[in-house]
Amino acid sequence: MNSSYSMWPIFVIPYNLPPWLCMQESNFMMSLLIPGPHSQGKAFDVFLQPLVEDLLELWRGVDTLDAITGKDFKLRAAVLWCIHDYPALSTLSGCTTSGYFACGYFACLHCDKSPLSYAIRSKICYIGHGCFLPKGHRLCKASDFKSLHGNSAKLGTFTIEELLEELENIRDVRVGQKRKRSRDRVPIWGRRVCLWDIPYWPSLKLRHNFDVMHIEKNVCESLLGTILDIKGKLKDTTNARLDLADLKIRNELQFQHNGDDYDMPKARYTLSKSKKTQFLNFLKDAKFLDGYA
Amino acid sequence: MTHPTNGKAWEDFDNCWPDFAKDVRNLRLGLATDVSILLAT
Repeated sequence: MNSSYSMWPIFVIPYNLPPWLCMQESNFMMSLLIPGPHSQGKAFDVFLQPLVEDLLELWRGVDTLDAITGKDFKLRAAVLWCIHDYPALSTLSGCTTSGYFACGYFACLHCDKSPLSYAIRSKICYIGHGCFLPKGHRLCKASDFKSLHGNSAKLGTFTIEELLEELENIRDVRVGQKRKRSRDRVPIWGRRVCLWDIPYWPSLKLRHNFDVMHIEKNVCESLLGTILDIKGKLKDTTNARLDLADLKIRNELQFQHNGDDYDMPKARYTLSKSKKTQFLNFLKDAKFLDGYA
Repeated sequence: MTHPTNGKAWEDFDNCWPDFAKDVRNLRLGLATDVSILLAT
């Protein structure tokens, strides 16, 4: 696909319609068309401004004719949430989606004060998500990851007041402006997007919805690559095994001393040749409903 | 297929803004940055 030029349309979808109508293309309203050729990045906010102005007016109410009664009434409208993919999160919400403070879950809902990430070898590792599991879940108890779940205490979350205060601090951050990094502040939020000007925005429970299409595809590909042992596609690499040793988990998968050499033990999840054939035959014969595969 | 009316976020919004929720004619909107996302689901 030629992607030398891209445009970013922004659609508004009325949820008052029944489900079978609300996701029909003819009912989408294109409110903005942001020209390319490249992503606007942080400047996105500038383009969003007219839409936000309209939304503010709609929240106060505009005179509208009710065709049934023939009378005028004040029509009000509110945005319930945004729908986008993960990369668009930083553009649309102004929070960080890379580095040590990238955990999207916190950015949208809780904003953890101590992000669950630290550096392993050449990557940043996001760990400790066991604390989101229900208490006594079998994965929490599993000794395999015990050291990772060690401090699964309650997460420190921002209240909405604290969050607004954080955003107030960066109110003056403008596009193209360098800002000083202060050590006492958790740099989760990069800038204050104009969506926060909407009076009901802070009270929304779910401000951003992810489209998981790409996430699902990547996870599925890595999983299949790993269990089928496809070279270049698998995640069970030498470095991954070394990371396990660094984290002191999964002893059975770490390199074993064998004279002058090291052995890489075969993992339980890698399929043998006969199992692979079985699996592929299953995929070949599998039948799905229309539109599901 | 479910409709977001049944969702927690919708309910929460109604509780926060009873004035708005009173009139069913008031519009509730969703913002989407890419239409292909919606059509794929």
